[in-house]
Amino acid sequence: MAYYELLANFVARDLKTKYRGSVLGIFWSLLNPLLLMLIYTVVFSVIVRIPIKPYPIFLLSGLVPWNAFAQTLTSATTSVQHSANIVRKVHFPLEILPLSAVATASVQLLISLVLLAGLALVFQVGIGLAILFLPLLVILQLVFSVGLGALLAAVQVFFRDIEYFLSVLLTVWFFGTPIVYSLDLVPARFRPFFQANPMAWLISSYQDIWFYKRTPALVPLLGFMLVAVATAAVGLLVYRRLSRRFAEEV
Amino acid sequence: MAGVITFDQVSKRFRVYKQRHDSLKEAFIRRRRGVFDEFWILRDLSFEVESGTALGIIGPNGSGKSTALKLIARILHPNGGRIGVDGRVSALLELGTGFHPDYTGRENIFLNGALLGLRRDFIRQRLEQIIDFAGIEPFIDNPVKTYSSGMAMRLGFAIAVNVDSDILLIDEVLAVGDAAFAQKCFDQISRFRAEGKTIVLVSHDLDAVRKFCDRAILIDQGGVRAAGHPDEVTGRYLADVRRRQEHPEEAATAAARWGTRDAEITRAEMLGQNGRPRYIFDTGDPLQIVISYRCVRPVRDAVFGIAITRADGVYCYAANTGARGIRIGQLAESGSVVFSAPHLNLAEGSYQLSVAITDRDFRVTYDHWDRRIEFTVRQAGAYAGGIVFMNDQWNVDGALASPAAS
Repeated sequence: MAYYELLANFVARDLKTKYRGSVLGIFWSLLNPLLLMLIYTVVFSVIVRIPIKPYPIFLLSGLVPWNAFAQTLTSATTSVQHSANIVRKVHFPLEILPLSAVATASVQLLISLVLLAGLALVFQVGIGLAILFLPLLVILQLVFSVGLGALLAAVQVFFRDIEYFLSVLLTVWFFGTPIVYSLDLVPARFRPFFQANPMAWLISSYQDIWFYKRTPALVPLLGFMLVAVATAAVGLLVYRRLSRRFAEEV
Repeated sequence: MAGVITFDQVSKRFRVYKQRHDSLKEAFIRRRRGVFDEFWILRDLSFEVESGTALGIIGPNGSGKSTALKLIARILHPNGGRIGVDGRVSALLELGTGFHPDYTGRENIFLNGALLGLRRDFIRQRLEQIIDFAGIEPFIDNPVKTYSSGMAMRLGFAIAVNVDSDILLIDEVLAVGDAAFAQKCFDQISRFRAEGKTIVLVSHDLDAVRKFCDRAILIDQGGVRAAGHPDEVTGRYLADVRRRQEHPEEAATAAARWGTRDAEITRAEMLGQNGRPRYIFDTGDPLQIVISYRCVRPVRDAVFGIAITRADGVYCYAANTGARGIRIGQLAESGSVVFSAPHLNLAEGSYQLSVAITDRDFRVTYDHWDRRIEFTVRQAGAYAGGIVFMNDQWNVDGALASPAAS
């Protein structure tokens, strides 16, 4: 199949369109997490004084993957709808649409991770051997994003308010995941609630390797692996089923 | 064998949303997804295209020609029946689909090629040929948004015909650009045929069908009405068109019709005083409308309705058995329903009649003929304006004013 070239073409097109005509180009995608880091650092380590040091590294180790996740879902959800003109007129594997949205966002994730590595050195946290787990975490995150993104994209074709629902969900989900705070700051009786969140498992693994410089805890990692694979299977299955009617409904 | 296409009793259903519930909230509250009418654009369509032949598909607007093409291209999927397509398909459904306006012509060749499933090195080999065919070499490195629509279409055509496919699908695109380019397209298609490739051409251009096709089929109302040699089939189509022009009451048969067809309207006629079909009335004449129906599946509590629209679209009148409190119960296998009114109080003008059978709550439409019957109302003398005629009388200063002597 030559369709992987189509995927590459779509990703290149999206990246080019996104940054064509902007002076700072791809640096905008770095500026955003940097700015957020600055704001959250001021709010949570100067004003609220969360006792985590160095806070910027703790924050970014969770915030960078989370941003990529949120961005992926948002662009994947509307991916079919935004390509309506080709969906209606050309036969091609429709799975490429959410896949290319995820791939585009993952390019930005990789760039942000480089930035994070730089900052880890600047703040003298250093980088431990545990960093070897990073590729695994990124892959699992992408698998999860593809599954959930495909599912949302397919349903969005039929119910246009999925995208609005998603933006609300992402806000709640963000603050419900230990990213700006750590899990041990959560009162013990609420903790089970936070521990039931698969994204918390993933984020804690990221924090393990970047901030604590230790091997990710096994249970959350395995748990997320299971959830990611199951979500991808269900998401792609539903997508495939519903995609038979995309051309007439989109 | 590569290039063979078979349609075996293929049916395709579309949904027309009257009021689409795009939001989840509404869908949950009402517990159903939008109010829609279903209609069969294709019903049990069967035909076959042999490898290395060219088939022309003709038919009136809305007959399902383009749907058939999209089914071959696997853009749409059938609701019933079986489709067999053997070989690589290249579809010219709309030229330049998927072009990115900010990309240059050259970049778009690669993007479009990828969309058709071609490898980059294959496109690179063909690049010169494509640019040359499109005849836009000086502009190939300018963004496509600076192209005229003719240039963009030529580029689209050039890409599609330079793909190595076994089957080429063409939908109404031969009228592209100037005469010289049209000739080039024709030549390319002839070459395709000479190479033993299969072509399916959907067109209103009967000459093109006669010129290029070995066989033709006429599709109307979702099924094959005629099949055979292009001369015969196009002749039959022309005869149909002529017949419709001579019988204006049938003129709009190609116009909108939808519904599940569980109960079908087989005929709808307007009758004058003498009980004969009539399509020209005088204001105040008695009117009868006879709707003949047939039940394909058992239908309970159907509602029969009529509506009258003025030719310019003004909605004038509607009536149905439900509004009159008539419960029909189990509908007979076939029969007729008669609407009658003592006076047709419409003012002068051209009107269109719609007739429909729906379920009790108007949720399911069994068959709806939308504005398919045209009629004219004349009004001698008294017409002053508006839609209705109220049979007016005037008293001026207490005395009945009589019409001016004429």
